[in-house]
Amino acid sequence: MPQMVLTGGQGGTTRRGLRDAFANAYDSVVEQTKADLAPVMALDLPSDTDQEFYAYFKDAPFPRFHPAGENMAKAGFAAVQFSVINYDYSLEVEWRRNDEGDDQLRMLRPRAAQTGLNFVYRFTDAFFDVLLSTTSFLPATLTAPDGSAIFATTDGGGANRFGATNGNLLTGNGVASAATIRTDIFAAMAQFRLMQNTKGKPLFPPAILNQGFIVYAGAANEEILNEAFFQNPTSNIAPAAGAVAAQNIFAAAGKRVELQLHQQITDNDMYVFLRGTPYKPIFHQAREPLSEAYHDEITSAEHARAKLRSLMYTTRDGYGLWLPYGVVKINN
Amino acid sequence: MTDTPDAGPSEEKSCVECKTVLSGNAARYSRCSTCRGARRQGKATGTATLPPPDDAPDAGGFDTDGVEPVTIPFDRARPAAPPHREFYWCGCLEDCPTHAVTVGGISFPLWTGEVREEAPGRFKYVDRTHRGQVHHLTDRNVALVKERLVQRVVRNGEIISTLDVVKSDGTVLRRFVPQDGDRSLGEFVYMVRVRHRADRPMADPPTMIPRE
Repeated sequence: MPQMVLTGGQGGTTRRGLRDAFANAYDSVVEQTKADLAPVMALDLPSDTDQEFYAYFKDAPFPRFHPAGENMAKAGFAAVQFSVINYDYSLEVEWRRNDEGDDQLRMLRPRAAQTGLNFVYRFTDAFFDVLLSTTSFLPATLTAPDGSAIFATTDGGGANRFGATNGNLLTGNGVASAATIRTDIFAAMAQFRLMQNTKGKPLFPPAILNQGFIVYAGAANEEILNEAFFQNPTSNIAPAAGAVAAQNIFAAAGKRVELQLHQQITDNDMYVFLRGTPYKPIFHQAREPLSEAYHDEITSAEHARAKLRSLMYTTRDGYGLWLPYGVVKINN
Repeated sequence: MTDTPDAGPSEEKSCVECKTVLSGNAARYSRCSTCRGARRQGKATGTATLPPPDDAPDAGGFDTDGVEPVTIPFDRARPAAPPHREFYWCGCLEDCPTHAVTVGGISFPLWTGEVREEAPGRFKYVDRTHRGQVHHLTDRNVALVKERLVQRVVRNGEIISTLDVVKSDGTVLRRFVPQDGDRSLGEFVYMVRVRHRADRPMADPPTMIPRE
């Protein structure tokens, strides 16, 4: 029984292998990458045009005293509009046909797999570009729809951001000791409790605040941060006379904290995400899913003339920064 | 002695102050209604000598014997005076590795946007309307920025800390080693004291650390 070798043109086992390698690489990591980012980044918002317009309502008015015999007070809704542009993100991987034939080690497959892996990391790259205000992947730095950068003490109009002094940017005390790290993390937790909505009411209810926190920090500070966060409970070890047994103060206080250490964060700053925030501070909108196109001497005269083969990958995405009240930066 | 009605049967008697004869229902009190009113208002009655001070009112109409307010000395000048603040235009340059530097808890963005009201209640966000951001800072804020800024360098397009990370037992977990090509972050950010929140008085503000 003949087997299906390739769809869409002539092909052989080698070419089929290459295509499978890319596809497998993407499939194997894309779900894991999305799972890692899901608590801090909204993925796959629908998009069907080149630029998506979003609007958010300011908070609904709250009730007021209604004196007998008088008309009740009136209040309307206010809305703010902003937009996110979809861009193309593409990559072509090209190799010489002769090299493929001469490759005794079959190294093209792992190389191809690595390319697919890099492509799926666009979510991660975009996330860190927005978080760190860099442009290593995105074409431009994003600002939040209140006018300020992702981390600021005031909004674009100069008012305290999210109704709290210092907004979502706190001054830290450094990472020289586990104690100062814990102090700063607790300050960030408190900052979420101090935030207010546009009507001066608490922004987050306790049910959201109690869902835990995710701390992003630099990989270079792994030991000191782990010392601060994950001290082993030693309640079963009798401390020296007069001493207090070390414990995990976050666990003792009922705070659920997850530590995420990444090499993209190169300084001592820390980023505390509120796990339960109803809207993630960073989001991705999907205009066109990832597609691939294989070209060789059969499908392309240009490739035939140069004796090249290539795979083209392209996608069309938009990345946005929502009001970043779900994350607080500790600036050390 | 009180001015509450006596519990017993009424009988004729006189006011303890003005000696007016009290009869009928008025005899239930030890003072006449005029003297009771004067006591409440802190006034002396016209004809009688005030009683001894065991139940005499003070000037405000209240008995303050045995009463002592608790007070503390308070320097109004110190805690009541807010820290001095001035406006500072802060931002970073195009070639800064990140386009929104934060130092000492202050943001130095390349751009800020603006939320404009297009119609009553309807706003639209306009991106990149202003260079940098104007902050209202205390002298302490500025001092902290100066202190923290020199603790960061730009190396290979990344901002890294110059501080060693040392455990409490003295173990150095991460040591900063200077390298050729390190540039201070201060060469990429500016901070200009300005007159008001909308003041951006120059096209090319000088960086906090001059470039060579």
